[in-house]
Amino acid sequence: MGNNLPDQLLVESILRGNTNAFSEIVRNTRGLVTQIICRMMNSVEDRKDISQDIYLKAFNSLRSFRFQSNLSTWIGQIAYNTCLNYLEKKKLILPGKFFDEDDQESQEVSYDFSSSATSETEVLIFRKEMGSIIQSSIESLTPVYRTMIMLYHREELSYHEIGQIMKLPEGTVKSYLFRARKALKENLLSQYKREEI
Amino acid sequence: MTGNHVTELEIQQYVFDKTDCPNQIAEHIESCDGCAARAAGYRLVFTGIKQYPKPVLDFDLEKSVLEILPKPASAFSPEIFLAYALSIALIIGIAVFGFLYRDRVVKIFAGILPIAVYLVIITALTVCALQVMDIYKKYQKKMRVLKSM
Repeated sequence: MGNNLPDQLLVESILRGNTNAFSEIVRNTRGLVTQIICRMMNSVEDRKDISQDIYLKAFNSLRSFRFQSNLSTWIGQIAYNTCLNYLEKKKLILPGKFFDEDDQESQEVSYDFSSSATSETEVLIFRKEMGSIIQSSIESLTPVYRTMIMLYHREELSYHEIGQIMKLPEGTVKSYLFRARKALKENLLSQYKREEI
Repeated sequence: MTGNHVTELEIQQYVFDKTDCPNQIAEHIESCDGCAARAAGYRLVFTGIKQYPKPVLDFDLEKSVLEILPKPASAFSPEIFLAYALSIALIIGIAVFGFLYRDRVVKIFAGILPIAVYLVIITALTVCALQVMDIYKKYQKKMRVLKSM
């Protein structure tokens, strides 16, 4: 974290009136912002308005940016808050718990995935099937946890950066990620067993 | 570790943060069929997440953002130039008038009671102070909106 010279130069250039330098910021943060928007918002129609809103907010508050985090993390934070506000306004987000607390105490079930497939082709088919089951499980997660999983595993952000974006303590991020992965694994297990029956 | 096996948290640590995973846990998972099977489940989750398609927006993000950004002010603006020119002309006009008719101006103020002069000055200062307070309140409000974003 801390000062990033290219970020600082870009911000100074924009503040001097070079609006076109902002496109560089858009290019640098496009992946992260797209990931947040798409994981938080199911409505494809609203994504354009939301993305414009995110970058307009970032542009207008650029003067208040103090380089206490990376510019991308700061824009990620704006993106996350904007999506969250949108979902709350539309009452599309379930406040409070993500999983029931009982889930944590659920029975530990074990299944030997590796022994299910024997030949190489079977292994490939098995992996493909598992991939699609996991993908549908990811879709069924709440937007906040889906975003968290993707930021950690796909965007490779640290717990600290995710905490900054979502305004959560690092410990909470770790705990939520643990529960999300556990839910994904249990979902995978139950769906696989159902298909096998 | 709980009993003879590793906890769910430790299995996740082994699969997702192997560098931070103590050797004792890694060795147990690698030698225990039950724990290895549980770890295999998480590996599939990891593979599934990695296979999850990268999100793509169905519009040009850069273009759509640049469209809505406020346009940079051009170097020469006729309106601003006219405003500056009129202001300068007005100041020069008042100064010339004051210089040419300074005796008459002094006479005008000499006829007014000092208390009236003070009254005018206090009123003007009060109006200015109220204006400044109003501007400050508006500024604070805008800052609050920006911070809440």
